[in-house]
Amino acid sequence: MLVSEEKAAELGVPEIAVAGVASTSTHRQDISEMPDMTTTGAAVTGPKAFDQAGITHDDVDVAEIYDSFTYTALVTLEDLGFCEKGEGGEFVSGGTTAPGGELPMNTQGGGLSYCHPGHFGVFVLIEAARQLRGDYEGDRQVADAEVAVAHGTGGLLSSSSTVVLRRES
Amino acid sequence: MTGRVEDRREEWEGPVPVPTGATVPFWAGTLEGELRYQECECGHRQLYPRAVCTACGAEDPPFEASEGVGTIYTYTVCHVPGEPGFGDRVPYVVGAIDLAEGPRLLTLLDADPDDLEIGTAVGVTFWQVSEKAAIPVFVPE
Ligand SMILES: [Zn+2]
Repeated sequence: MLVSEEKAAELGVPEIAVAGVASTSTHRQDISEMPDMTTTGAAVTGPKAFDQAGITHDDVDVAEIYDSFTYTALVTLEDLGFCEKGEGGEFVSGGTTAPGGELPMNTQGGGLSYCHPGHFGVFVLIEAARQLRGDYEGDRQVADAEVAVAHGTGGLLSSSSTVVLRRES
Repeated sequence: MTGRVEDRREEWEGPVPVPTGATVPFWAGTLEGELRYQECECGHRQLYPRAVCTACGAEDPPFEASEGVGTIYTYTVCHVPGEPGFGDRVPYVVGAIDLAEGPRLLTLLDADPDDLEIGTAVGVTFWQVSEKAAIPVFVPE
């Protein structure tokens, strides 16, 4: 539920602020139209949303990143700047993005392991918000998560949106 | 340049293109061994064919004949068929070809994957799959 700060206070629910948002699209409806198959719009939306939220990568406690395919997850991590271009595979190996890792990622299992009904973007937002509210018990919950990044990709790898969420109370 | 048109109507079990609207001149060209792209008055070139120019929005950008040559931008080898009708053809190669004229076309590559790499020069041939359409298939030059 998206409400004003006043309404959130009135309801007495945990306040999760939308701290930064950016969206872009890079091409039309065909993969062959992608200007560069190793870069997505996340390279544009990531820096903008981070700037708006006033955060750096070190501030991010949990990442929920759209993963239609393994490639999508890796290229998006690179484009968002969590690692260098071409180093996404290395970045996720060794448990960096596992529960308890440096950057727990796709804590609901992601589209690859949980479900991908189409419009998966809403699931990355829901999971990011629930992590910040501390809804879970056990390994799934990232302890004391304050800043979450949710990233959605749509069209045919042609539309990108990054949302930075921050727990305020 | 025109590409060879091979009659594959008997054996083809993959999807068959249905020419409609902006794609009619494109598929008509394929039956004659001609790969056509659209070149708008604004200078923008595009393929696949569309009813509007994706750069300026002008309607029905006219068709030009491509030389039918280009280079491999990237490719992948499919070991699991993506569509019914491709099952007995695995492994097959799908590539993105940068045409000499500029547009990039996603297409079948009829070749041994070992003979391909990014940048390989390729030329177009056509497999006729119906009365109305022949699909462009690229082969190493
Ligand atoms: Zn135009």
